[in-house]
Amino acid sequence: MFILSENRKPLTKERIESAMNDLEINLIKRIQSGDVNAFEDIVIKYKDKAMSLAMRILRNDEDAEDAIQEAFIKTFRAIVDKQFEERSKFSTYFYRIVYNSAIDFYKKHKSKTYSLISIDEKRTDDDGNVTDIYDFEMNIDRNKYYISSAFDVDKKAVENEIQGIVNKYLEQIPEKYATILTLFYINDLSHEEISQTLNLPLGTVKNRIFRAKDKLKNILTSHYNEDELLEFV
Amino acid sequence: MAQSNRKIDDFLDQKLRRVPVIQPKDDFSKILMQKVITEHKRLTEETKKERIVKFVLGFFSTFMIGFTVVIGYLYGKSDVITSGSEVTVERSNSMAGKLVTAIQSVFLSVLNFFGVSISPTTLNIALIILLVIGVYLLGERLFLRGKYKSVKSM
Repeated sequence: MFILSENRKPLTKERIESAMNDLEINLIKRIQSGDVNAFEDIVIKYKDKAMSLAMRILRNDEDAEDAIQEAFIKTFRAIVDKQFEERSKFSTYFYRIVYNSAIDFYKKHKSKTYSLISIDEKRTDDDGNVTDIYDFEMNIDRNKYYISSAFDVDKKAVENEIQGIVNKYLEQIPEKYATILTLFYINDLSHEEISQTLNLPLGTVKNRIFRAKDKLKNILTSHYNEDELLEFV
Repeated sequence: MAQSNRKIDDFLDQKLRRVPVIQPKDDFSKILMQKVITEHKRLTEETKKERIVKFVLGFFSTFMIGFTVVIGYLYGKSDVITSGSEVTVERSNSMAGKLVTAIQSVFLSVLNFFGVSISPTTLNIALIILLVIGVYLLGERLFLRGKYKSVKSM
């Protein structure tokens, strides 16, 4: 027993990912052999993260649901037609389909409802001025998120308030930053995988994460002093 | 300073990882799986149709090639007159016959120009085989195009 535990390798992120990938490959093989219900496991596993990604682009529940439904059906077809290659990671492949479906949905319905959301490389305001993450302003309800200098409120409540600001930040920033942050922090893709998924240079991906985080840091440090923030580390 | 910056960075990483995922409606999986089952039935039907079309096209192509080869060798040889580098082909009065003769002449002249000498019968067989392959590919492509259209219309 002792020898077994000595030989057991530690559970690294790579080993977990590899095991997950094997599990997905197994599901894919079952689907290809005609077990359609195996696809439900994939739906259950990915629906929330796919929804989060689609919401960053479409910012509307119903449209995001339609887009991910389309993405799941496209994925199913790709699996049945054996277009998905086992050597690629399923999650990367799937999120790319979700992203493209959401973009297609956006383009198709752009004229109807999405006039205020910029999806292009440059974000413009109503006057046509180019804005970016550094020009992004976040209206924080000071009554809701006010922290007294005496720091006399419950620490947990303050931490929740900060989490609320971060959640709101991700909902409000331009799509090109929100998508990358979602893929990196929520969907657990690496920089390289995001680069493949969005078809962007690796440097651009890293730069956007850095800039978006830097802006968030500025927003938070304008409301809380550094010592207060460091209390939570 | 650098260390506190790094700590704040870690703190932000932690907060960003804790941003809650957005969930679709409760019945999302159920509705989606119904659509997936329908899609699976449609794909299975399509595969069956594809097999039938391929079989028919394959059978037709094999039959045409076989028929051409047999007929070509049985009856074709007597019609050919070749003398030196000049290649002559059988003449016909019908429009179709004239067209075939013209095509044969063009191909034979071109091949002759490159120093390749083949009989019109062999050329006929080669052209028929190419034609059959063309018909097969065209038939398959037309079928597949129809298939993609039906997928898009979903």
